[in-house]
Amino acid sequence: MKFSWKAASLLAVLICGGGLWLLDSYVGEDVDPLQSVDHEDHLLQPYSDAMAGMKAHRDAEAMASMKKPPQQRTLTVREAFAGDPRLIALSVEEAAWMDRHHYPKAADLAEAESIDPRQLAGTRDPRLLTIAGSAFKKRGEYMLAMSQHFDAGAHGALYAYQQGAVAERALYEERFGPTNRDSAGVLRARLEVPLALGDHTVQYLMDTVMADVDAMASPKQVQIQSREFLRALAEDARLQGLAPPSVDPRPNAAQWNDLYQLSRSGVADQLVTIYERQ
Amino acid sequence: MAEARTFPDTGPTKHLLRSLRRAEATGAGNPCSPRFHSRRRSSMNSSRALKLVVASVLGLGGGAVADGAIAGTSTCTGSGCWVYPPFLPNPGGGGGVGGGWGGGDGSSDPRDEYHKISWCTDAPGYAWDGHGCDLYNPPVLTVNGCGTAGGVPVPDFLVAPGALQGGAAAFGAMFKAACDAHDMCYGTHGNDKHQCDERLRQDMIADGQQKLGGAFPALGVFVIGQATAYARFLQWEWIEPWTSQPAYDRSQMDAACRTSSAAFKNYCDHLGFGS
Repeated sequence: MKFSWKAASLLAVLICGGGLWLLDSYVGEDVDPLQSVDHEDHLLQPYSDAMAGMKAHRDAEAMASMKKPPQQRTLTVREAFAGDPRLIALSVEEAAWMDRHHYPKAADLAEAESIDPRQLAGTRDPRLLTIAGSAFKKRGEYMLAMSQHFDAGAHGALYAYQQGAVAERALYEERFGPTNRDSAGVLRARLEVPLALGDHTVQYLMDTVMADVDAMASPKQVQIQSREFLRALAEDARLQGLAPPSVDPRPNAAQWNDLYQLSRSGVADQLVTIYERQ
Repeated sequence: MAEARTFPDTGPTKHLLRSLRRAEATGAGNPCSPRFHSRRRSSMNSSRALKLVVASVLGLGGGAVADGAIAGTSTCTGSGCWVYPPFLPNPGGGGGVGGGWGGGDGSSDPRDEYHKISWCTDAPGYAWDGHGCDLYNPPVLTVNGCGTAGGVPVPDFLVAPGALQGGAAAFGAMFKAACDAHDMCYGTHGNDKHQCDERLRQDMIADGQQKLGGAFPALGVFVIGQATAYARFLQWEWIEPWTSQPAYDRSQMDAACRTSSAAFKNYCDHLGFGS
Protein backbone atom coordinates (compact mmCIF):
# COMPACT_ATOMS: atom_id res chain seq x y z
CA MET A 1 0.00 0.00 0.00
CA LYS A 2 1.37 3.35 -0.95
CA PHE A 3 1.51 6.08 1.70
CA SER A 4 -0.52 9.13 0.81
CA TRP A 5 -0.52 12.41 2.70
CA LYS A 6 -4.04 13.04 1.48
CA ALA A 7 -5.40 9.79 2.97
CA ALA A 8 -3.58 10.35 6.26
CA SER A 9 -5.02 13.88 6.58
CA LEU A 10 -8.50 12.56 5.87
CA LEU A 11 -8.10 9.88 8.53
CA ALA A 12 -6.84 12.41 11.06
CA VAL A 13 -9.80 14.70 10.37
CA LEU A 14 -12.21 11.78 10.77
CA ILE A 15 -10.67 10.74 14.10
CA CYS A 16 -10.73 14.27 15.47
CA GLY A 17 -14.30 14.78 14.30
CA GLY A 18 -15.40 11.53 15.90
CA GLY A 19 -13.69 12.49 19.15
CA LEU A 20 -15.34 15.90 19.21
CA TRP A 21 -18.72 14.34 18.49
CA LEU A 22 -18.29 11.91 21.35
CA LEU A 23 -17.19 14.69 23.68
CA ASP A 24 -20.14 16.76 22.68
CA SER A 25 -22.54 13.89 23.27
CA TYR A 26 -21.09 13.31 26.72
CA VAL A 27 -21.53 16.86 27.93
CA GLY A 28 -24.64 17.57 25.91
CA GLU A 29 -28.04 18.21 27.45
CA ASP A 30 -29.70 15.39 25.63
CA VAL A 31 -27.89 12.73 27.68
CA ASP A 32 -29.59 11.59 30.91
CA PRO A 33 -27.34 11.65 33.89
CA LEU A 34 -26.83 8.25 35.53
CA GLN A 35 -28.93 9.03 38.58
CA SER A 36 -31.58 11.47 37.68
CA VAL A 37 -34.42 12.14 40.07
CA ASP A 38 -36.78 12.72 37.17
CA HIS A 39 -35.70 9.50 35.65
CA GLU A 40 -36.35 7.51 38.83
CA ASP A 41 -39.73 9.08 39.45
CA HIS A 42 -40.70 8.36 35.93
CA LEU A 43 -39.86 4.69 36.28
CA LEU A 44 -41.45 4.26 39.67
CA GLN A 45 -44.51 6.27 38.88
CA PRO A 46 -46.74 3.29 38.13
CA TYR A 47 -45.69 1.61 41.37
CA SER A 48 -46.16 4.77 43.40
CA ASP A 49 -49.58 5.17 41.89
CA ALA A 50 -50.40 1.56 42.63
CA MET A 51 -49.25 1.86 46.23
CA ALA A 52 -51.18 5.05 46.76
CA GLY A 53 -54.16 3.33 45.24
CA MET A 54 -53.74 0.35 47.51
CA LYS A 55 -53.44 2.56 50.57
CA ALA A 56 -56.52 4.50 49.53
CA HIS A 57 -58.28 1.20 48.93
CA ARG A 58 -57.20 -0.15 52.32
CA ASP A 59 -58.22 3.07 54.04
CA ALA A 60 -61.57 3.00 52.28
CA GLU A 61 -62.04 -0.61 53.25
CA ALA A 62 -61.02 0.13 56.83
CA MET A 63 -63.33 3.13 56.93
CA ALA A 64 -66.19 1.00 55.66
CA SER A 65 -65.56 -1.58 58.38
CA MET A 66 -65.85 1.04 61.10
CA LYS A 67 -69.15 2.19 62.43
CA LYS A 68 -67.98 5.77 62.67
CA PRO A 69 -65.02 7.23 60.82
CA PRO A 70 -62.11 8.14 63.04
CA GLN A 71 -61.44 11.75 63.77
CA GLN A 72 -58.15 13.05 62.47
CA ARG A 73 -56.00 15.22 64.74
CA THR A 74 -52.54 16.64 64.45
CA LEU A 75 -50.53 16.77 67.63
CA THR A 76 -46.91 16.87 68.64
CA VAL A 77 -45.41 13.49 69.31
CA ARG A 78 -45.11 14.40 72.97
CA GLU A 79 -48.82 15.15 73.22
CA ALA A 80 -49.83 12.11 71.24
CA PHE A 81 -47.75 9.73 73.34
CA ALA A 82 -48.48 11.40 76.67
CA GLY A 83 -51.10 8.82 77.61
CA ASP A 84 -51.12 5.13 76.79
CA PRO A 85 -49.43 4.89 73.38
CA ARG A 86 -51.09 1.53 72.72
CA LEU A 87 -54.31 3.43 72.14
CA ILE A 88 -52.95 5.60 69.32
CA ALA A 89 -53.89 4.91 65.70
CA LEU A 90 -51.56 6.37 63.10
CA SER A 91 -53.80 5.59 60.14
CA VAL A 92 -57.38 4.76 59.35
CA GLU A 93 -56.29 1.21 58.76
CA GLU A 94 -54.77 1.00 62.23
CA ALA A 95 -57.93 2.46 63.75
CA ALA A 96 -59.88 -0.29 62.01
CA TRP A 97 -57.40 -2.87 63.31
CA MET A 98 -57.98 -1.58 66.83
CA ASP A 99 -61.71 -1.90 66.36
CA ARG A 100 -61.24 -5.42 65.08
CA HIS A 101 -59.27 -6.33 68.19
CA HIS A 102 -61.71 -4.69 70.58
CA TYR A 103 -59.36 -1.99 71.76
CA PRO A 104 -61.19 0.24 74.24
CA LYS A 105 -61.94 3.82 73.35
CA ALA A 106 -61.27 6.73 75.64
CA ALA A 107 -64.93 6.71 76.68
CA ASP A 108 -64.74 3.01 77.62
CA LEU A 109 -61.80 3.56 79.90
CA ALA A 110 -63.51 6.54 81.48
CA GLU A 111 -66.55 4.35 82.07
CA ALA A 112 -64.40 1.73 83.79
CA GLU A 113 -63.41 4.34 86.34
CA SER A 114 -66.90 4.64 87.73
CA ILE A 115 -68.85 1.51 86.82
CA ASP A 116 -69.67 -1.35 89.20
CA PRO A 117 -68.24 -4.33 87.27
CA ARG A 118 -70.72 -6.74 88.80
CA GLN A 119 -73.38 -5.02 86.76
CA LEU A 120 -71.63 -6.51 83.75
CA ALA A 121 -71.76 -10.07 85.11
CA GLY A 122 -72.52 -12.59 82.42
CA THR A 123 -71.49 -10.40 79.51
CA ARG A 124 -69.77 -12.08 76.58
CA ASP A 125 -68.98 -8.84 74.76
CA PRO A 126 -65.20 -8.37 74.66
CA ARG A 127 -65.53 -4.61 74.96
CA LEU A 128 -67.62 -4.92 78.11
CA LEU A 129 -65.35 -7.65 79.46
CA THR A 130 -62.43 -5.25 79.03
CA ILE A 131 -64.30 -2.53 80.88
CA ALA A 132 -65.26 -4.97 83.65
CA GLY A 133 -61.67 -6.18 83.91
CA SER A 134 -60.38 -2.63 84.23
CA ALA A 135 -63.00 -1.83 86.83
CA PHE A 136 -62.14 -4.93 88.88
CA LYS A 137 -58.48 -4.02 88.69
CA LYS A 138 -59.27 -0.55 89.93
CA ARG A 139 -61.20 -2.03 92.87
CA GLY A 140 -58.28 -4.30 93.76
CA GLU A 141 -60.10 -7.52 92.80
CA TYR A 142 -57.21 -8.81 90.77
CA MET A 143 -58.37 -12.37 90.31
CA LEU A 144 -61.57 -11.26 88.60
CA ALA A 145 -59.75 -8.53 86.69
CA MET A 146 -57.34 -11.09 85.28
CA SER A 147 -60.10 -13.52 84.47
CA GLN A 148 -62.31 -10.97 82.70
CA HIS A 149 -59.41 -9.64 80.67
CA PHE A 150 -58.27 -13.07 79.56
CA ASP A 151 -61.83 -13.94 78.71
CA ALA A 152 -61.90 -10.93 76.39
CA GLY A 153 -58.56 -12.11 75.04
CA ALA A 154 -60.21 -15.28 73.77
CA HIS A 155 -62.35 -13.02 71.57
CA GLY A 156 -59.18 -11.52 70.10
CA ALA A 157 -59.01 -8.51 72.42
CA LEU A 158 -55.27 -7.98 72.55
CA TYR A 159 -55.33 -4.91 74.76
CA ALA A 160 -57.43 -6.82 77.27
CA TYR A 161 -54.98 -9.70 77.23
CA GLN A 162 -52.14 -7.33 78.05
CA GLN A 163 -54.14 -5.78 80.85
CA GLY A 164 -54.83 -9.30 82.10
CA ALA A 165 -51.10 -9.75 82.51
CA VAL A 166 -50.91 -6.52 84.49
CA ALA A 167 -53.73 -7.71 86.76
CA GLU A 168 -52.02 -11.09 87.08
CA ARG A 169 -48.89 -9.41 88.31
CA ALA A 170 -50.87 -7.47 90.89
CA LEU A 171 -52.55 -10.70 92.01
CA TYR A 172 -49.28 -12.59 92.40
CA GLU A 173 -47.67 -9.74 94.26
CA GLU A 174 -50.63 -9.48 96.57
CA ARG A 175 -50.66 -13.21 97.31
CA PHE A 176 -47.08 -14.38 96.93
CA GLY A 177 -44.92 -11.32 97.45
CA PRO A 178 -42.73 -9.34 95.07
CA THR A 179 -42.30 -10.58 91.52
CA ASN A 180 -39.59 -13.19 91.38
CA ARG A 181 -37.95 -15.15 88.60
CA ASP A 182 -40.84 -17.62 88.37
CA SER A 183 -43.68 -15.16 88.17
CA ALA A 184 -41.59 -12.95 85.89
CA GLY A 185 -41.34 -15.82 83.41
CA VAL A 186 -45.09 -16.30 83.44
CA LEU A 187 -45.77 -12.59 83.03
CA ARG A 188 -43.23 -12.19 80.27
CA ALA A 189 -44.80 -15.13 78.48
CA ARG A 190 -48.19 -13.42 78.76
CA LEU A 191 -46.75 -10.45 76.88
CA GLU A 192 -45.38 -12.74 74.23
CA VAL A 193 -48.92 -13.73 73.26
CA PRO A 194 -50.16 -10.36 71.91
CA LEU A 195 -46.72 -9.80 70.45
CA ALA A 196 -46.92 -13.08 68.57
CA LEU A 197 -50.42 -12.24 67.40
CA GLY A 198 -49.22 -8.98 65.87
CA ASP A 199 -49.49 -6.19 68.43
CA HIS A 200 -46.14 -4.43 68.55
CA THR A 201 -47.33 -1.85 71.08
CA VAL A 202 -46.81 -4.40 73.89
CA GLN A 203 -43.40 -2.78 73.99
CA TYR A 204 -44.97 -0.02 76.05
CA LEU A 205 -45.77 -2.44 78.89
CA MET A 206 -42.33 -3.99 78.64
CA ASP A 207 -40.85 -0.55 79.17
CA THR A 208 -43.15 0.54 81.97
CA VAL A 209 -45.08 -1.69 84.37
CA MET A 210 -43.25 -4.84 83.28
CA ALA A 211 -39.85 -3.22 82.86
CA ASP A 212 -38.16 -5.39 85.47
CA VAL A 213 -39.76 -8.61 84.30
CA ASP A 214 -37.72 -9.06 81.17
CA ALA A 215 -34.39 -9.23 82.94
CA MET A 216 -35.68 -11.66 85.57
CA ALA A 217 -37.48 -14.10 83.30
CA SER A 218 -35.87 -17.30 82.14
CA PRO A 219 -35.97 -17.53 78.33
CA LYS A 220 -36.66 -21.24 78.55
CA GLN A 221 -39.65 -20.66 80.79
CA VAL A 222 -40.95 -17.87 78.55
CA GLN A 223 -40.72 -20.11 75.52
CA ILE A 224 -42.53 -23.04 77.14
CA GLN A 225 -45.10 -20.88 78.87
CA SER A 226 -45.98 -18.65 75.91
CA ARG A 227 -46.62 -21.72 73.80
CA GLU A 228 -48.94 -23.01 76.52
CA PHE A 229 -50.76 -19.68 76.70
CA LEU A 230 -51.30 -19.60 72.96
CA ARG A 231 -52.65 -23.14 73.08
CA ALA A 232 -54.94 -22.30 75.99
CA LEU A 233 -56.21 -19.17 74.26
CA ALA A 234 -57.13 -21.13 71.16
CA GLU A 235 -58.77 -23.82 73.28
CA ASP A 236 -60.81 -21.25 75.18
CA ALA A 237 -61.97 -19.67 71.92
CA ARG A 238 -62.88 -23.07 70.53
CA LEU A 239 -64.99 -23.88 73.59
CA GLN A 240 -66.89 -20.65 73.11
CA GLY A 241 -67.46 -21.35 69.45
CA LEU A 242 -65.11 -18.59 68.31
CA ALA A 243 -62.37 -18.63 65.74
CA PRO A 244 -59.04 -19.00 67.52
CA PRO A 245 -57.08 -15.75 67.58
CA SER A 246 -54.65 -15.69 64.68
CA VAL A 247 -51.77 -13.51 63.59
CA ASP A 248 -52.97 -10.13 62.38
CA PRO A 249 -50.11 -7.61 62.33
CA ARG A 250 -51.03 -4.19 63.55
CA PRO A 251 -50.23 -1.57 60.90
CA ASN A 252 -47.55 1.10 61.24
CA ALA A 253 -45.15 -0.93 63.36
CA ALA A 254 -42.03 0.88 62.19
CA GLN A 255 -43.60 4.32 62.36
CA TRP A 256 -45.03 3.69 65.82
CA ASN A 257 -41.70 2.47 67.07
CA ASP A 258 -39.87 5.53 65.70
CA LEU A 259 -42.35 7.92 67.27
CA TYR A 260 -42.41 5.97 70.52
CA GLN A 261 -38.65 6.14 70.80
CA LEU A 262 -38.79 9.81 69.92
CA SER A 263 -41.35 10.44 72.65
CA ARG A 264 -39.12 8.65 75.15
CA SER A 265 -36.10 10.63 74.10
CA GLY A 266 -37.72 13.86 75.25
CA VAL A 267 -37.22 15.63 71.93
CA ALA A 268 -40.69 15.16 70.56
CA ASP A 269 -41.95 18.37 69.04
CA GLN A 270 -42.55 16.84 65.63
CA LEU A 271 -46.11 16.86 64.44
CA VAL A 272 -47.96 13.63 63.89
CA THR A 273 -51.46 12.86 62.66
CA ILE A 274 -53.46 10.48 64.79
CA TYR A 275 -56.87 8.95 64.21
CA GLU A 276 -59.21 8.91 67.15
CA ARG A 277 -61.93 6.31 67.06
CA GLN A 278 -65.40 7.55 67.83
CA MET B 1 -43.14 -32.87 105.86
CA ALA B 2 -40.81 -35.77 106.58
CA GLU B 3 -38.91 -35.97 109.79
CA ALA B 4 -35.47 -34.44 109.71
CA ARG B 5 -32.60 -36.87 109.52
CA THR B 6 -29.08 -35.94 110.42
CA PHE B 7 -25.90 -37.40 109.04
CA PRO B 8 -22.28 -36.78 109.88
CA ASP B 9 -20.94 -34.05 107.70
CA THR B 10 -18.23 -35.20 105.44
CA GLY B 11 -19.26 -33.41 102.24
CA PRO B 12 -20.17 -34.82 98.85
CA THR B 13 -17.44 -35.50 96.37
CA LYS B 14 -17.51 -34.84 92.71
CA HIS B 15 -17.10 -38.50 92.09
CA LEU B 16 -20.12 -39.39 94.12
CA LEU B 17 -22.14 -36.59 92.67
CA ARG B 18 -21.40 -37.88 89.21
CA SER B 19 -22.41 -41.35 90.32
CA LEU B 20 -25.49 -39.90 91.86
CA ARG B 21 -26.45 -38.12 88.70
CA ARG B 22 -26.09 -41.37 86.87
CA ALA B 23 -28.20 -43.05 89.51
CA GLU B 24 -30.79 -40.33 89.22
CA ALA B 25 -31.05 -40.96 85.56
CA THR B 26 -32.20 -44.43 86.44
CA GLY B 27 -34.28 -43.20 89.34
CA ALA B 28 -32.08 -44.84 91.93
CA GLY B 29 -30.37 -41.86 93.50
CA ASN B 30 -30.97 -40.75 97.03
CA PRO B 31 -28.96 -37.74 98.05
CA CYS B 32 -30.08 -38.13 101.61
CA SER B 33 -28.30 -41.39 102.05
CA PRO B 34 -25.20 -41.28 104.23
CA ARG B 35 -23.01 -42.49 101.39
CA PHE B 36 -23.96 -39.36 99.51
CA HIS B 37 -22.07 -37.40 102.09
CA SER B 38 -18.92 -39.49 102.14
CA ARG B 39 -15.86 -37.42 101.50
CA ARG B 40 -12.73 -37.46 99.45
CA ARG B 41 -10.05 -35.13 100.61
CA SER B 42 -9.00 -33.84 97.23
CA SER B 43 -12.43 -32.44 96.48
CA MET B 44 -13.03 -30.58 99.68
CA ASN B 45 -12.81 -27.16 98.12
CA SER B 46 -15.69 -27.70 95.81
CA SER B 47 -17.71 -29.66 98.28
CA ARG B 48 -17.35 -26.97 100.89
CA ALA B 49 -18.32 -24.36 98.40
CA LEU B 50 -21.30 -26.40 97.41
CA LYS B 51 -22.32 -26.55 101.01
CA LEU B 52 -22.09 -22.85 101.20
CA VAL B 53 -24.33 -22.17 98.29
CA VAL B 54 -26.89 -24.80 99.06
CA ALA B 55 -27.22 -23.82 102.66
CA SER B 56 -27.26 -20.13 101.99
CA VAL B 57 -29.76 -20.33 99.17
CA LEU B 58 -32.10 -22.42 101.18
CA GLY B 59 -32.36 -19.57 103.61
CA LEU B 60 -31.80 -21.75 106.62
CA GLY B 61 -32.76 -20.27 109.93
CA GLY B 62 -29.94 -18.79 111.92
CA GLY B 63 -30.34 -21.36 114.66
CA ALA B 64 -30.05 -24.30 112.35
CA VAL B 65 -27.02 -22.80 110.71
CA ALA B 66 -25.40 -22.09 114.01
CA ASP B 67 -26.11 -25.62 115.24
CA GLY B 68 -24.79 -27.06 112.05
CA ALA B 69 -21.71 -24.97 112.19
CA ILE B 70 -20.93 -26.47 115.52
CA ALA B 71 -22.02 -30.00 114.84
CA GLY B 72 -21.02 -30.04 111.20
CA THR B 73 -23.93 -32.01 109.91
CA SER B 74 -25.95 -32.51 106.82
CA THR B 75 -29.68 -32.65 107.14
CA CYS B 76 -32.46 -33.91 104.95
CA THR B 77 -36.16 -33.33 105.28
CA GLY B 78 -39.07 -33.87 102.99
CA SER B 79 -38.36 -30.59 101.32
CA GLY B 80 -34.74 -31.32 100.52
CA CYS B 81 -31.23 -31.87 101.79
CA TRP B 82 -28.72 -29.34 102.84
CA VAL B 83 -25.28 -29.22 104.26
CA TYR B 84 -23.56 -26.64 106.35
CA PRO B 85 -21.83 -24.65 107.77
CA PRO B 86 -22.76 -22.14 105.12
CA PHE B 87 -20.33 -19.43 106.11
CA LEU B 88 -17.39 -19.65 108.38
CA PRO B 89 -17.98 -17.96 111.72
CA ASN B 90 -14.27 -17.27 112.06
CA PRO B 91 -12.85 -16.98 108.55
CA GLY B 92 -9.27 -17.51 109.48
CA GLY B 93 -9.96 -20.44 111.71
CA GLY B 94 -10.34 -23.71 109.99
CA GLY B 95 -9.91 -26.61 112.32
CA GLY B 96 -12.51 -28.40 114.31
CA VAL B 97 -14.64 -31.21 113.15
CA GLY B 98 -16.62 -29.56 110.43
CA GLY B 99 -16.68 -26.53 112.62
CA GLY B 100 -15.81 -24.10 109.89
CA TRP B 101 -14.74 -23.67 106.37
CA GLY B 102 -12.15 -26.22 105.50
CA GLY B 103 -12.05 -27.42 109.07
CA GLY B 104 -12.44 -31.09 108.42
CA ASP B 105 -9.73 -31.44 105.85
CA GLY B 106 -7.25 -29.29 107.66
CA SER B 107 -7.03 -26.50 105.08
CA SER B 108 -6.30 -23.14 106.61
CA ASP B 109 -7.41 -19.83 105.21
CA PRO B 110 -10.83 -20.10 103.67
CA ARG B 111 -10.21 -16.98 101.65
CA ASP B 112 -7.65 -18.95 99.68
CA GLU B 113 -10.14 -21.68 99.10
CA TYR B 114 -12.62 -19.02 98.21
CA HIS B 115 -10.50 -18.14 95.23
CA LYS B 116 -9.60 -21.68 94.39
CA ILE B 117 -13.05 -23.09 94.12
CA SER B 118 -13.80 -24.54 90.82
CA TRP B 119 -17.43 -25.47 91.09
CA CYS B 120 -18.62 -22.25 89.52
CA THR B 121 -17.03 -23.35 86.30
CA ASP B 122 -17.23 -27.06 86.88
CA ALA B 123 -20.29 -27.49 89.05
CA PRO B 124 -22.16 -30.69 89.41
CA GLY B 125 -25.91 -30.58 89.54
CA TYR B 126 -26.98 -30.84 93.13
CA ALA B 127 -29.09 -33.83 93.91
CA TRP B 128 -32.30 -33.05 95.65
CA ASP B 129 -34.43 -35.19 97.84
CA GLY B 130 -35.66 -37.89 95.50
CA HIS B 131 -35.14 -36.01 92.26
CA GLY B 132 -32.29 -34.07 90.76
CA CYS B 133 -31.75 -30.37 90.99
CA ASP B 134 -29.45 -29.30 88.25
CA LEU B 135 -28.19 -25.89 89.28
CA TYR B 136 -27.43 -24.99 85.71
CA ASN B 137 -30.73 -26.08 84.33
CA PRO B 138 -33.44 -25.95 86.97
CA PRO B 139 -36.99 -27.05 86.17
CA VAL B 140 -39.16 -24.19 85.01
CA LEU B 141 -42.51 -23.25 86.48
CA THR B 142 -45.36 -23.72 84.05
CA VAL B 143 -48.92 -22.68 84.74
CA ASN B 144 -51.31 -24.63 82.58
CA GLY B 145 -54.80 -24.25 83.91
CA CYS B 146 -56.45 -27.14 85.67
CA GLY B 147 -54.28 -29.56 83.71
CA THR B 148 -53.99 -33.11 84.87
CA ALA B 149 -53.98 -34.77 88.25
CA GLY B 150 -52.19 -38.10 88.26
CA GLY B 151 -52.66 -38.40 84.52
CA VAL B 152 -56.42 -37.75 84.66
CA PRO B 153 -57.41 -34.65 82.64
CA VAL B 154 -59.15 -32.06 84.79
CA PRO B 155 -61.56 -29.81 82.88
CA ASP B 156 -61.17 -26.07 83.26
CA PHE B 157 -64.62 -25.53 81.80
CA LEU B 158 -67.89 -25.90 83.67
CA VAL B 159 -69.17 -29.44 83.83
CA ALA B 160 -72.93 -29.86 84.00
CA PRO B 161 -75.15 -32.89 83.51
CA GLY B 162 -76.71 -33.96 80.24
CA ALA B 163 -78.46 -31.34 78.20
CA LEU B 164 -76.98 -28.47 80.18
CA GLN B 165 -73.42 -29.37 79.24
CA GLY B 166 -73.49 -27.60 75.87
CA GLY B 167 -74.57 -24.35 77.45
CA ALA B 168 -72.13 -24.70 80.33
CA ALA B 169 -69.14 -25.41 78.11
CA ALA B 170 -69.96 -22.41 75.94
CA PHE B 171 -68.73 -20.20 78.74
CA GLY B 172 -65.26 -21.35 77.79
CA ALA B 173 -62.37 -22.19 80.07
CA MET B 174 -64.19 -20.64 82.98
CA PHE B 175 -61.81 -21.81 85.68
CA LYS B 176 -58.54 -21.39 83.87
CA ALA B 177 -57.49 -18.19 85.62
CA ALA B 178 -58.26 -19.72 89.03
CA CYS B 179 -56.29 -22.85 88.16
CA ASP B 180 -53.37 -20.77 86.87
CA ALA B 181 -53.27 -18.93 90.18
CA HIS B 182 -53.40 -22.31 91.95
CA ASP B 183 -50.45 -23.55 89.90
CA MET B 184 -48.54 -20.45 90.82
CA CYS B 185 -49.48 -20.97 94.46
CA TYR B 186 -48.10 -24.53 94.47
CA GLY B 187 -45.01 -23.39 92.58
CA THR B 188 -44.08 -20.60 94.97
CA HIS B 189 -41.69 -21.83 97.62
CA GLY B 190 -43.13 -21.87 101.12
CA ASN B 191 -46.82 -21.62 100.29
CA ASP B 192 -49.21 -23.72 102.34
CA LYS B 193 -50.93 -26.42 100.33
CA HIS B 194 -54.31 -26.26 102.02
CA GLN B 195 -54.41 -22.51 101.72
CA CYS B 196 -53.72 -22.85 97.99
CA ASP B 197 -56.49 -25.42 97.61
CA GLU B 198 -58.99 -23.37 99.56
CA ARG B 199 -58.19 -20.29 97.51
CA LEU B 200 -58.81 -22.28 94.37
CA ARG B 201 -62.33 -22.99 95.52
CA GLN B 202 -63.02 -19.36 96.36
CA ASP B 203 -61.57 -18.14 93.07
CA MET B 204 -63.57 -20.65 91.06
CA ILE B 205 -66.83 -19.65 92.69
CA ALA B 206 -66.20 -15.90 92.37
CA ASP B 207 -65.15 -16.28 88.75
CA GLY B 208 -68.09 -18.53 87.91
CA GLN B 209 -70.52 -16.09 89.46
CA GLN B 210 -69.15 -13.20 87.39
CA LYS B 211 -69.01 -15.16 84.16
CA LEU B 212 -72.42 -16.74 84.41
CA GLY B 213 -74.24 -13.58 85.44
CA GLY B 214 -77.92 -14.20 84.86
CA ALA B 215 -77.29 -17.89 84.28
CA PHE B 216 -75.90 -18.32 87.79
CA PRO B 217 -79.23 -19.32 89.36
CA ALA B 218 -79.46 -22.17 86.85
CA LEU B 219 -75.84 -23.22 86.62
CA GLY B 220 -74.41 -21.81 89.83
CA VAL B 221 -74.98 -25.04 91.69
CA PHE B 222 -72.63 -26.79 89.29
CA VAL B 223 -70.03 -24.07 89.72
CA ILE B 224 -70.13 -24.43 93.47
CA GLY B 225 -70.18 -28.21 93.13
CA GLN B 226 -67.21 -28.28 90.80
CA ALA B 227 -65.21 -25.80 92.89
CA THR B 228 -65.90 -27.73 96.06
CA ALA B 229 -65.15 -31.03 94.37
CA TYR B 230 -61.77 -29.76 93.15
CA ALA B 231 -60.84 -28.40 96.55
CA ARG B 232 -62.04 -31.51 98.38
CA PHE B 233 -60.35 -33.80 95.89
CA LEU B 234 -57.08 -31.99 96.41
CA GLN B 235 -57.39 -32.31 100.18
CA TRP B 236 -59.19 -35.61 100.60
CA GLU B 237 -57.07 -37.61 102.98
CA TRP B 238 -57.70 -40.92 101.20
CA ILE B 239 -56.26 -39.84 97.92
CA GLU B 240 -54.24 -36.76 98.73
CA PRO B 241 -51.03 -38.71 99.39
CA TRP B 242 -51.18 -40.15 95.87
CA THR B 243 -52.47 -37.19 93.90
CA SER B 244 -52.18 -33.60 94.99
CA GLN B 245 -49.60 -34.05 97.73
CA PRO B 246 -46.91 -35.41 95.40
CA ALA B 247 -47.75 -32.67 92.90
CA TYR B 248 -47.42 -30.05 95.60
CA ASP B 249 -44.19 -31.58 96.94
CA ARG B 250 -42.70 -31.71 93.51
CA SER B 251 -43.68 -28.11 92.78
CA GLN B 252 -42.14 -27.00 96.06
CA MET B 253 -38.93 -28.92 95.39
CA ASP B 254 -38.74 -27.47 91.92
CA ALA B 255 -39.26 -24.02 93.40
CA ALA B 256 -36.49 -24.61 95.91
CA CYS B 257 -34.25 -25.85 93.13
CA ARG B 258 -34.90 -22.70 91.12
CA THR B 259 -34.08 -20.60 94.16
CA SER B 260 -30.86 -22.54 94.63
CA SER B 261 -29.99 -22.15 91.00
CA ALA B 262 -30.53 -18.39 91.09
CA ALA B 263 -28.39 -18.02 94.21
CA PHE B 264 -25.75 -20.28 92.72
CA LYS B 265 -25.56 -18.11 89.63
CA ASN B 266 -25.46 -14.94 91.69
CA TYR B 267 -22.73 -16.38 93.81
CA CYS B 268 -20.62 -17.40 90.85
CA ASP B 269 -21.18 -14.00 89.27
CA HIS B 270 -20.10 -12.43 92.53
CA LEU B 271 -16.90 -14.42 92.42
CA GLY B 272 -16.34 -13.38 88.86
CA PHE B 273 -16.74 -16.85 87.44
CA GLY B 274 -19.99 -16.26 85.69
CA SER B 275 -22.25 -19.26 85.45
